Amino acid sequence: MEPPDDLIRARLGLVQALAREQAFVQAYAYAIVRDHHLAEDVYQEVAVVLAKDWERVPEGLPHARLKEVVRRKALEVARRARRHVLLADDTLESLAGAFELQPADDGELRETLAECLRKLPPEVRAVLDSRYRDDCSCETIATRLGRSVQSIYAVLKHARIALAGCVAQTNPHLHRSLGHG
Amino acid sequence: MVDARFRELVDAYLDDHLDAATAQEFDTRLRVDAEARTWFAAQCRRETAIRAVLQVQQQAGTVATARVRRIHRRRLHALPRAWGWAVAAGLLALLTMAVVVVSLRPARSVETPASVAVRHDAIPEVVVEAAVNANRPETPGRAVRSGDELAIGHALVVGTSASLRFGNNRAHLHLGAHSRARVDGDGLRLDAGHVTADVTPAQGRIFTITTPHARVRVVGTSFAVTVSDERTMVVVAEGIVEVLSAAPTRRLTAGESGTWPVPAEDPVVIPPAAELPAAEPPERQGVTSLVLLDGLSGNPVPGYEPLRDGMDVDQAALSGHHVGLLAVTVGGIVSVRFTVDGPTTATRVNDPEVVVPFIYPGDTPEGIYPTWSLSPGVYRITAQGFRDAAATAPAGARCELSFTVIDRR
Repeated sequence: MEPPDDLIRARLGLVQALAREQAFVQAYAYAIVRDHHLAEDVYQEVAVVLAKDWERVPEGLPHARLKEVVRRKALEVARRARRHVLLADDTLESLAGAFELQPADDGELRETLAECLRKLPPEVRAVLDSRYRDDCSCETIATRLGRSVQSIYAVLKHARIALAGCVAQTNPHLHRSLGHG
Repeated sequence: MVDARFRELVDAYLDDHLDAATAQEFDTRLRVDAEARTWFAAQCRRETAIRAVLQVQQQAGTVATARVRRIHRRRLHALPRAWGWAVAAGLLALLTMAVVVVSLRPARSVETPASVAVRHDAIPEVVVEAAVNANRPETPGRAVRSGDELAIGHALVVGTSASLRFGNNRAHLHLGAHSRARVDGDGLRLDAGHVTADVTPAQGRIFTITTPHARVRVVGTSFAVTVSDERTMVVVAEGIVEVLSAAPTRRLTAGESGTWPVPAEDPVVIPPAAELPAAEPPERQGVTSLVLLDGLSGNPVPGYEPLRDGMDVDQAALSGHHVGLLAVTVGGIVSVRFTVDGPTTATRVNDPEVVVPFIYPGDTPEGIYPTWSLSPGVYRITAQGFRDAAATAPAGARCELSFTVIDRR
């Protein structure tokens, strides 16, 4: 017996919805676990949980359900990785709503950031590459560069300020959507 | 608009150096302040976007170099923006994860795994049904279009989406954004991305999704596969899936799931509640050194990390730098107060800096560091660490030094 077309569409819809919500899931997970790699793990596990239970997932993947799954999975992933979660559970719950307010598609943000990242001095870019791309801790970066860890904090802090300034100049609307001005 | 204090807390949280007291403050602020939550959420979105962009730029580097050479030969001076972005997005998929859901219409004659062994005509043709922002690395500069045919070995980098028809209507696949895949003799190799598929099995033919860690053979089922750099996870919604990997072949039936490579037994240890850094003994607390910093880049001014007592500072070396002074601390220092006595200004005692990095002259409410103009002459600096934000409980010895700014021009 062939599965009804509407069931097939529902399954496909779930996967497409998960793809659409990837930025939301990873950013919210990152806010909880403070580790990009672990946040990516959370996204995978959320996908698996929802796929496993797809028949009970309402069409359109409502955020109320998604937020709950992400929060639980993030706490679980953090526990497995022995990563201490610094925020209280009710804070994490209320935080989820703030992530819903963010634009669903971060294509514009990425495009603007790509342009701005290219403008950073090479030595700053090297620190960002180590921290964001290679998942190095600030302590590791400091050791590699023979610098104090606090100077690495300073580089990261200033890089964020510089990027915010560049985004403001390149795309003022996007800058405002990031909570500036 | 959130205040400078909250922005500093966010930076410290993201860079993983909040102590117990400031973590509590950060938590409270997030709980009670909706604006702070929204701002923090936006910063987290930005952080994950920065990571994604840096990963793309790293991987696009080699591809872009080859592409630019070709373009120069053609005397083109700019990359088409959509093409460039599609390649970048596709490469990003190498480091992201994939979700594959295959819905499989039950076979009229159910295949057995053994029937997979000989299958020369398994995938006779692949036709692109629709494509948005998709490219083949083999033909740079030309977007994949509806009606294009793909052969075994052809790769596909998908920026937005692409739909493929395999084997004369045997399988319909929809590749989602940031997918990276290659047609192979058995079906599709998926390095990363999102694929949905509707597959009708035929006698003697099995459709296979191959990931970097396993091969998932459709025996007659619907299932999900998630691929990351390190592992592949498979969950079966209904029917049966067979997974081949370095581990023994495993059949998964409805409701079962598995991970490949099979993880080693690793008991989960729940960390104790109080895992935050313990307070350092008093003898290991304090400001240990001072560093002249470029306030725009955050990097030290070359030659002045650390700044030493009695040093001469060449004013020319400071030219072009947005100079600030960083106090490097050890132990549970919560705030630092700087006292600066310069040649042209009266002694200045700043409000305590309360979040690492502790920098003089401090940042503005907008998070911008004002320039510290250094004139020729002698500067005497004192930096005192405190155990509290109000700077009432000194911790460790003060760091005191003087340096002389010299105009050698």
